[in-house]
Amino acid sequence: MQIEYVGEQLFWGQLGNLFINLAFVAALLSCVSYFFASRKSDEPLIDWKKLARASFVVHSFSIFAIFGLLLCILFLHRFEYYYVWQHSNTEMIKKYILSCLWEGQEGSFLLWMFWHALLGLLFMFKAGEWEADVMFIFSMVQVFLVSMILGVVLDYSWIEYKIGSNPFTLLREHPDMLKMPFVQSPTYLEKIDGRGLNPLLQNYWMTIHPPTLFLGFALVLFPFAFAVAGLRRAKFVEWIQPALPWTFLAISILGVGILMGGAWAYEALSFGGFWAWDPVENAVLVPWLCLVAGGHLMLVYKNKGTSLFIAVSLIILSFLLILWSTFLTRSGVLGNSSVHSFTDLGMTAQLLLYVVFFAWLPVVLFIRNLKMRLNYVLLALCVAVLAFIFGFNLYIKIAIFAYLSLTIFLLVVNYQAQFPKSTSEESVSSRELWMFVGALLLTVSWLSIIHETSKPAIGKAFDGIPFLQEIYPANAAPASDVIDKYNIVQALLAIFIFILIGVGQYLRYGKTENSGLKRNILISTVISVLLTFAIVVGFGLSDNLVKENFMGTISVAKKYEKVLYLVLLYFSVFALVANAHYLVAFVKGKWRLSGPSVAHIGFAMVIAGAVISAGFKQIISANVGSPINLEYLNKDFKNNENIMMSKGDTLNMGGYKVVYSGDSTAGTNVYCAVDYYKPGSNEKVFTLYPNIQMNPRMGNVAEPSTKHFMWKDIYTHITFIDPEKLQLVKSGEINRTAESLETDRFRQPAVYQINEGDTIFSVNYYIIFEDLVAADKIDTTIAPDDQKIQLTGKFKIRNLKGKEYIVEPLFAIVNNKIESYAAFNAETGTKISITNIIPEKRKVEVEVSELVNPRQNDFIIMQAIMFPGINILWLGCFLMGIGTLIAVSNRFLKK
Amino acid sequence: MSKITIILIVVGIIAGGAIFYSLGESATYATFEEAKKNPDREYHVVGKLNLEKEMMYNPAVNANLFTFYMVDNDGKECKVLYNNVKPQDFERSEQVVIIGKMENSEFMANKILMKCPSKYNDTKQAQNI
Repeated sequence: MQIEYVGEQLFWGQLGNLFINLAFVAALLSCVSYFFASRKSDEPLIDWKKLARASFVVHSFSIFAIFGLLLCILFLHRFEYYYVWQHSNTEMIKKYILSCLWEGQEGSFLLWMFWHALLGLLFMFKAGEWEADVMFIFSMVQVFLVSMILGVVLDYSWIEYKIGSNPFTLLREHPDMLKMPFVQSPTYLEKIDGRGLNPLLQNYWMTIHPPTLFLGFALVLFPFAFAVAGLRRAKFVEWIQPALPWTFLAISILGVGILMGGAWAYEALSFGGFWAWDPVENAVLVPWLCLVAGGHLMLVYKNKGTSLFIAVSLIILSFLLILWSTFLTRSGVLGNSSVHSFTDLGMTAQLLLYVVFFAWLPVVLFIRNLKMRLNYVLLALCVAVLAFIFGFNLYIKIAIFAYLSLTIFLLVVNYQAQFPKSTSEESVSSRELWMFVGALLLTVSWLSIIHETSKPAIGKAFDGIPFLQEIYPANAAPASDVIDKYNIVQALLAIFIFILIGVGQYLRYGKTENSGLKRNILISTVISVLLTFAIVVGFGLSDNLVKENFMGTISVAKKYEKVLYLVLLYFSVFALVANAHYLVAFVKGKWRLSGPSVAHIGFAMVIAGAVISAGFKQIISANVGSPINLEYLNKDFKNNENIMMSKGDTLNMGGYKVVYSGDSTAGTNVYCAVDYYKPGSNEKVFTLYPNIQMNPRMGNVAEPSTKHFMWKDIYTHITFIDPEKLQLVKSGEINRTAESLETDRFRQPAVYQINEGDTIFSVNYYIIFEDLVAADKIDTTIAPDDQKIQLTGKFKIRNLKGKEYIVEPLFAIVNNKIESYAAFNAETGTKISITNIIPEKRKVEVEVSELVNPRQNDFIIMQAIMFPGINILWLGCFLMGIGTLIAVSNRFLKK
Repeated sequence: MSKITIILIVVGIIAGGAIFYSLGESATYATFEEAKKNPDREYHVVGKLNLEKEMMYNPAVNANLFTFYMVDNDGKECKVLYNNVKPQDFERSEQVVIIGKMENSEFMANKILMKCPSKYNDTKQAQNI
């Protein structure tokens, strides 16, 4: 029976699917056409170039159309579409609509494709001789990307696979929803609302960070496409000049995008910092480092004619690393480890194919001998088919290893045969040599980061292979001790890189004699020593340098960690001073040439700022006064990190007198006001409002509140708050301020008439009336001669976990007057009093009231961190962005 | 040997050193049984929270200690002592990964990662339509 659904607007999805299919076909056609256009034939039958351009234009406009359609259905709240339902709802603020669009995988792929389409259009008409070769690669990448949102299901006996995930899938046709009852209801659309945007993403960062990052990704494709085109045409050198501006633009934008991520984490998230070496962060940093290395080597080649092969390799690797990061973050292979874990859409095979294909392609195009090339391709197809039939068993893995060895052999052979060798000998004091060393050190840096981050994936790949399995166990987890694995290794490498950044500026391109070199280095060294000394004293960095060896467990690396950071600080200052000196003495106001110096200064400040603020941060929320010393429980446990603050209490923290003074609500947020006073006075210096954004569907989210001073930040966030208290504040029932604690306020009492053995259900407790007996203890406040009946009611209050409290109110009739003495239980905040007895019915009248503001849960657990000198970091980010853009504009203008 | 070759060898050694260092003491996923056998090694243990047993977080006593019971993928249960506050919505977690060492039949965790229901939530949401 076909159900006629009411109110659905299916044309959006139908139009969307049309454009997706069109985008796919057009990209494919463009790719094929560019392939033919790039071949030299005398009289082509078809004007391939024109066809290719037309297809790419059609493809691009299809992408824009898909983007527009998705935006429309989000804006119009068309919840019949799964994507709209999953990522938005009716009460959402409209300005976050773009964030909804790219919150999901399909949307973020679309964003990536959008940039490619835009950039491709711009490039296409300006590129000149390189157009066909570069656009061939470009459109091929687009084919792969469009396939990620196709949503085509292959359901045959020999294969069952869904290619991509379509953003226009209907809610009722989504595999998770097929068995749901609402699918049977024709009017379901009237009753549904969306899930909404994740509260963590409801801020302006989500609107600017992803587009910047994906623009960075898109730009990296250009140097890759140029390099691969160069390999194919055996124009190993000519690609560099046109590719240079794109390379540095990519470095600029991708770098800014990564730093934005850090700023977002610091400002709005509660990990207590701006960089956590989280797998997703690492996966994006690595291609950037590789690109920086490759870009600098391109400059070296341009000036000196050396380091070509490594430059080409690094540029190609940069793009491949972006594809690898796409695989790591979207396939769920790191599922158990990252805070960023995306839902696994089952696209693992597709994503892996994406990386493998583009790693394989440059090799294919590099092989000069056509027969060899054909054999290599056929062999690949064989291995692929065998893998498909037999799965990835041990033999197939061995076959893959053999193929990889063959690949390396072919690379070596072709390199010897066709690659231009550098003829000049490197002099020790030439800039090029040291830039080369710098690029190599950057490579060690990114290799070690991606190696550590990819361990779970590597472990899974080597599963079943005897020797490798030992080194890369299948159950490998990503490093939990980030300081040890990342900070220390990277700090050591960075020290050497900064020496090179500093000294490198003074060396001239190509020159072997540097007359003023020693003098320049001396000047910079002296200034750096003074400046570093000033920083160390100013920020008080020399306190507690060497870590206490508590119970003998600390590693050497950890013990001297801070000393290492100070050494790194010195060298980053040195690089800064050297570049500033160079800027002042040699560039002298020719702003167009100032790009590299400013960028290097910016980078040095970023690292210096990071070292000072993160390396020497202080957790000022020490848990003072705790009766248990956690370190006796376990030598690795620390006592102080989080502090408990009850409303109205005063504590000494980080040189301030701190008071948790009250709560307030606005929208979905609950704000806890924490006042900071000058110690020993009533002068309030500032108030912070760390808050909780309440979201019953996705879980509550804590947002930090930070006080920015010039030379430090005090960063606070709530780490624990009683969920019951949150509800009470939100609903307005709890007392808002500390002053009102003076008068304990009870809620309206409820009156019951009950028999022995009855149970009363109050908000949070069961109250069981057990018995009414003659009071055994005579109340001596009542005059002994007065006629009296004294009774004790025996009540048990039981909470939801079964804990019981005994409450015994007193009831007396003295001279025909009722006197009732309520009993109060502090733990539950419950007051019970017997107001009357009805002996004929064996009933008792009871009044139960509860404290509106029970003290036992009116507290917050907070963590407060003081980050010294963090503004140095932000200033550095800004300078780095500007510096790279100046350098890029200089390159584009030179053309 | 040209200078370039020397440089490449030196950098190669540095790289090798870095990779070697990172391979030593790799973190691994394990069960409580394995963690018990090697009490000095840090492990990642995946499992589910046991809602039946008592969870204790008493901030007035110590805001940095939270105890609960967890069942690993082998079905074995263990008491876990976590050196931090009780995570938000802990009861709602579908799966939990704890990182730490085993000591005297109790697991000392210094980090917790929670996997919260997402697909689960979707379908649950849908049932209420």
